[in-house]
Amino acid sequence: MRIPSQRLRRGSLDNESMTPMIDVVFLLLIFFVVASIGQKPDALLPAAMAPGATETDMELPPPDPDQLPVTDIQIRLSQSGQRQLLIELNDRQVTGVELRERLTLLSDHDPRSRIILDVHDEVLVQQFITVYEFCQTLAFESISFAVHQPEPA
Amino acid sequence: MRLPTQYSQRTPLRFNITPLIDVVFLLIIFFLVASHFVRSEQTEPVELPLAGTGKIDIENSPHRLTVTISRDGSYFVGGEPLTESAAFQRVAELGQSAAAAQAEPEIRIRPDRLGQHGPFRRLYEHCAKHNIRRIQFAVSSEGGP
Repeated sequence: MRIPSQRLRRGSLDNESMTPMIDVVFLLLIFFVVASIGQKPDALLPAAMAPGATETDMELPPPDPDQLPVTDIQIRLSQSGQRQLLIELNDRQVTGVELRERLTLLSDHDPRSRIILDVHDEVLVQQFITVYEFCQTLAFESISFAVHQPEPA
Repeated sequence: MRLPTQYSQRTPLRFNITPLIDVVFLLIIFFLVASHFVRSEQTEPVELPLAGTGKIDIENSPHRLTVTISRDGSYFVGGEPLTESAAFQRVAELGQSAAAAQAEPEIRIRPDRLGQHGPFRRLYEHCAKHNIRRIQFAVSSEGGP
């Protein structure tokens, strides 16, 4: 007697096999897209402050910046009535190009010179940062910010 | 007569790992997105000053405060607008908490490039008064000088 054998019919998986694969592919796509999203971190300019060292109303004698050596270099930034930037290097008005040239000369001569930035409140932040960054690139060892005490009422 | 089959129809045990992979990737994506929103600081959008020598620092310090100064001189911490006194109070608290933890506090200032120097100056002067020495100015290198 022949015993009928039941063949295991292998179910056709052709129609079902694509779906998990598509799922995984899309998940991989989403994973790499999300992983690549990120905020661009801000670039930073360091400004290390000396603890509690504030110098108020510094009265520096105006040395001639052409005469070297100069140990203290005062740079004052203010705005004129026409909202133009006024730059004074040791109480002598200079242009931006002149400032760069003289600071370059001074840093070549003595990078230990102390830069004192006296920036008036109406000056734009960009203008201040431009001068400050330039002083940093010249590798002056000390860059200080002038502080003015508020006038007593 | 129907004879019972001698052998049991064994269906081979198949462990389908596709749903497992789906779940794992979904979890990874969920935590990626969640950590992105948690970690990213809500910052007031400002036009940062341009500078070519700024350096990116991804170091995360628990004693770090980021203060954004908008064009009109308003202070923002974590996207929240604060008065000048409230912002300075936060700076003072940062200094105190860092001193208590014997750690070095850090301030990151994000000013608008077209804003005035006054509020910016008052902030970093206040930091110096509270012995916060590590101050960094956020700048943008795009189209820098």
